Amino acid sequence: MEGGGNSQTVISSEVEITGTVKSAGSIQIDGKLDGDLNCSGDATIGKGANIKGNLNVNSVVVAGALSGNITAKDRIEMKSSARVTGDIKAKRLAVEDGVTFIGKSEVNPSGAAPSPNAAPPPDKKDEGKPEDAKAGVFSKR
Amino acid sequence: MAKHSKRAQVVGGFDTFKAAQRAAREPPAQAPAPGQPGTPPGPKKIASRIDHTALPTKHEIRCYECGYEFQLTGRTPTTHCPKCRKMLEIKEYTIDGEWSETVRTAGAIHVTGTAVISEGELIATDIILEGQLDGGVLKAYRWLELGASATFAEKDVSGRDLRVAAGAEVVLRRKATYTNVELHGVLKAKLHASGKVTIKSTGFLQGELHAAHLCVEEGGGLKAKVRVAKSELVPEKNESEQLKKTA
Repeated sequence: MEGGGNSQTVISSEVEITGTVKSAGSIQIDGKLDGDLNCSGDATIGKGANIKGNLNVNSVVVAGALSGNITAKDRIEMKSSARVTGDIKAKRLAVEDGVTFIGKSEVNPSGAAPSPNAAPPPDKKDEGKPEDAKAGVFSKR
Repeated sequence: MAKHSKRAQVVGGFDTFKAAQRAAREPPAQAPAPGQPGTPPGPKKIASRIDHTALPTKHEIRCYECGYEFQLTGRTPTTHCPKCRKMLEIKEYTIDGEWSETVRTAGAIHVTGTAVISEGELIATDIILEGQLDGGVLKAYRWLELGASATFAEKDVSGRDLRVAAGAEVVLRRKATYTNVELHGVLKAKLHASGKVTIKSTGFLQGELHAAHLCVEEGGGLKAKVRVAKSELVPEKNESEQLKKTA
């Protein structure tokens, strides 16, 4: 393809690839991939795409089917037609309504996780009380 | 039609519909010859005959006596349940300071940050809890909103839907089951939602999530074991087999 850094590789819907795909730039997959994808740029998984493998990308937009783990340096976006089975890890995440997602997620954009002291240790006074009687909410951050 | 125009300055929706039908049937007025004085005005536009169409607001009401749900048009402080015929209050309450009485309303209750509920039941359609629940019971038929300064025991609060306000940090040790969940703050829980879970840009969910629908805004955080599927959930055996193949 012509052009410099803005070129994008497109794997059309008729293409079936078995093996690892490596790309230094952006890539769009509309076909079938049985293997891993390592992309330094941005990846787009089309609506009709079917990927069985792990993704290591800078950012990815998923609109098709993916069975595997996604590790993104920046952002993961799942469109409403996305069906993802696997773990995801990224700095940022956006999920549209209608997504099917089964797996673990590790996305913490602003470090907004509860503070380590959020769950105080059980008091000795509460030992005799049932667990339900303990307060469930702690003070504001 | 004449009786409507006599008494009402506001034209209702039915009048609008009939006027549109009549205008469609009437032939267009003929253009007058050029130069003739007293040119009659052109055909009246339908829009010029309509001042304002007002539709009253409809509210979903749930009877706190028998549980029957019905729609109510307009605002009224009280109404009667169509099923059990008991009188229902539809007032909105704001509780500030110490409180130990039972309140039942089909409206909303706002427990402010300085409130301390020591006894009694608070039953409403929507409840906002920002204060301390130290002995009372909260039951929301629709939205239960937890504020930043809310303190409570999990067994003492219930609601159909859950909202965590911005700045709040909620930790639920028991399995939390709701229909819809909206996170503007932090929630750490094993969450089961039969409807939609929405994580706003300031929201964060940690723990486990089982839901039919999930929507995460840009900026929202999710650190959990997730199972989101519209239809029946995929059994765990198939999931582990698929992941082994891809590894």
